[in-house]
Amino acid sequence: MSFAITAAVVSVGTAAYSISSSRKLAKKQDALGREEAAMEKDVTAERVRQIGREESMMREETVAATAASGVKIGSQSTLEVLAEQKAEFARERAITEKVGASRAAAALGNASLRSQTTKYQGYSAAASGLTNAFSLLHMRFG
Amino acid sequence: MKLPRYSSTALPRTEQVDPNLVAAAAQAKTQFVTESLTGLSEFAVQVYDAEQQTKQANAIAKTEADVAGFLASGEWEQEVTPEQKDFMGRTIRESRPMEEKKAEDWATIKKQTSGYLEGLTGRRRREAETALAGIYMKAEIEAQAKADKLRVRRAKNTTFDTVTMLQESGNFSAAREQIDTAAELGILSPAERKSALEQNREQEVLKPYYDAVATQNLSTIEQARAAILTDGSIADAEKRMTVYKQLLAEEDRLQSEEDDNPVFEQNYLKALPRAVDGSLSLDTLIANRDNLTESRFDTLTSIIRARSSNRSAGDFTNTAGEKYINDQIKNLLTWAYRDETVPYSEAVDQAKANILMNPNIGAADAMKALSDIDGYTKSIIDNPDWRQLLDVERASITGMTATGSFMAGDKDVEAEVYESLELGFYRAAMRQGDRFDADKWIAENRFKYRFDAISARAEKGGYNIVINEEATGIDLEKTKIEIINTFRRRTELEPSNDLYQDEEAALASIGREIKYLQKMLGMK
Repeated sequence: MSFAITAAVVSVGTAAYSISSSRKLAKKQDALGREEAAMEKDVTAERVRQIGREESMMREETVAATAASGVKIGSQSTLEVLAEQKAEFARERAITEKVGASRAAAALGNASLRSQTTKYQGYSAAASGLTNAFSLLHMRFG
Repeated sequence: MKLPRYSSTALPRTEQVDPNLVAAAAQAKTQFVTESLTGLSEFAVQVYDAEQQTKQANAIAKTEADVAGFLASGEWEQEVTPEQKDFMGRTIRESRPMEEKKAEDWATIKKQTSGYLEGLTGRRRREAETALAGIYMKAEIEAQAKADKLRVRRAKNTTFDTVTMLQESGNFSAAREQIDTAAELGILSPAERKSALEQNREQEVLKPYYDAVATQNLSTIEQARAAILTDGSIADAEKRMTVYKQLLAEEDRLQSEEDDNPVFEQNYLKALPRAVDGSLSLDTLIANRDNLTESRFDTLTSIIRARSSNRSAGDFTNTAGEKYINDQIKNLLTWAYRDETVPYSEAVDQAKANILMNPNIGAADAMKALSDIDGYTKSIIDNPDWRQLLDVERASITGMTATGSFMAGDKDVEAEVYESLELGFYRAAMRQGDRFDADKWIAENRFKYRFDAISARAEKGGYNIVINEEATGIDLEKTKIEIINTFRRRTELEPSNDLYQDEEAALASIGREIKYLQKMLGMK
């Protein structure tokens, strides 16, 4: 086998290896991204649950304090306070959920971008190798 | 009650996609697309340019080969083209000036070479055109120089012919003028002029002696031979002796002719019967015999012997004369057909001319001899058995039927093989006369002529012919291997090599050569 053919075969082999390894790495990066996103979702759910608990504790404390002060629970002012508490906690929950979702999405997005970068870097190396192989084969048989 | 449970800064922060990663991914994608496209386009350019380079090299190489063939052609030496004839001797193209033909050839080559540029573009085409222009220019200069040189040579030859004619007519001063004029026109160099003038002077001095030879008078030649020894105008001693020897040889020849005078023969023939009947002494007869040369006496004896043997037929003179003429015809025809360079018709014409010019053959006998020659050659040419035999050979060699005739375009190797065989056949028939066995001759010579054609073709194809161990013919199998190896080697050459063939073309060539070989060896 002549030098040109040997070199062409090596170039094609290198290109194939480059594509294969870059695809494997990209898949791994995607998997890591999915794992990070799932973790963000779990953390967010826990925070939302914690806020729910804090809300109920604060409501009980407010009711107890109101009763101790002799103010009627069903009075207008007490109801306003409880309503404001409810709205405040609802807003905090919404913000927490939105932030959690964005963090999960960011984790997935970053992983996808890393995966794409790796994949295209592998393809570029493969394209260069194949071009080299074509040139060598053409020199030999062209 | 207001519930500032936390400040806005204590709220968790949202997270965005990393812009650096976005940029890196975009860059990687762009790099991939760019590198792929660049690689493909570079590869395409490389392939295209390699093709262009090969075409360019081929165009230049072919042109150089065409031009070299044009300049090296032996035709330049000819002043005019030969008249072209077909196999039957009919003129198919008149003769014309060679320069006209060469100009046509040159135009054809230029047209042909410009065709080699087809498919070449851009820089490669411009480079090839520049190279071709250079080749054309160089070749045209060389062709012009060649034509000029030939023109000068012809002018020189014409000058020398004219000078010779003037010298032969004794006009040596005009010959001198002719030499000087040619020198003034640049046809003769100063050295050539000097040499020609010296030669003219020498001819002038020697003319009286050559004139003496022309008189064919023995005493004049004798006087000239004596005079040349003391002639002070002849400076060159060697030349003086050369002419002296010529005069002496001519003198001897005339003396010998005089000795061989037919009158002596007549005297002897008249004396012979008288010696037989006793009215003349034998001494007188012997004296008459001594006047005859040996060859004339031998001829005379054979005639007398022939007349004696035919005496019983009662036609003493005619029969003997006829035999004598028959011998002459046979001798002349044998001479004619032994000279391989003389064509058939010219040989017969020469034989007839010799008979007509032979002083020993009378007019009536000569006419009869001519008629006999015509009859004899016609009987050979028109022999139907021989014709049939030759037609079979012709069909076998050329693939043409008996009724087909050769035209100018058919003048290929096979046609030449057959023509050569036919001529050889008739020559053998003429030489051997009644002993000629046509079938035997064909069997013995069939291969000889084909071998010449096969060898010529093999030489052209560049392969060797292997002769069998008995050296009686061709070893077909070994020759096939030679052919296959030769054409296989061509596929391994560089494509720019003239002998290069791709595998398909090489296989086709192998098939053609083997088929031809089988055909020439009479195989299916």
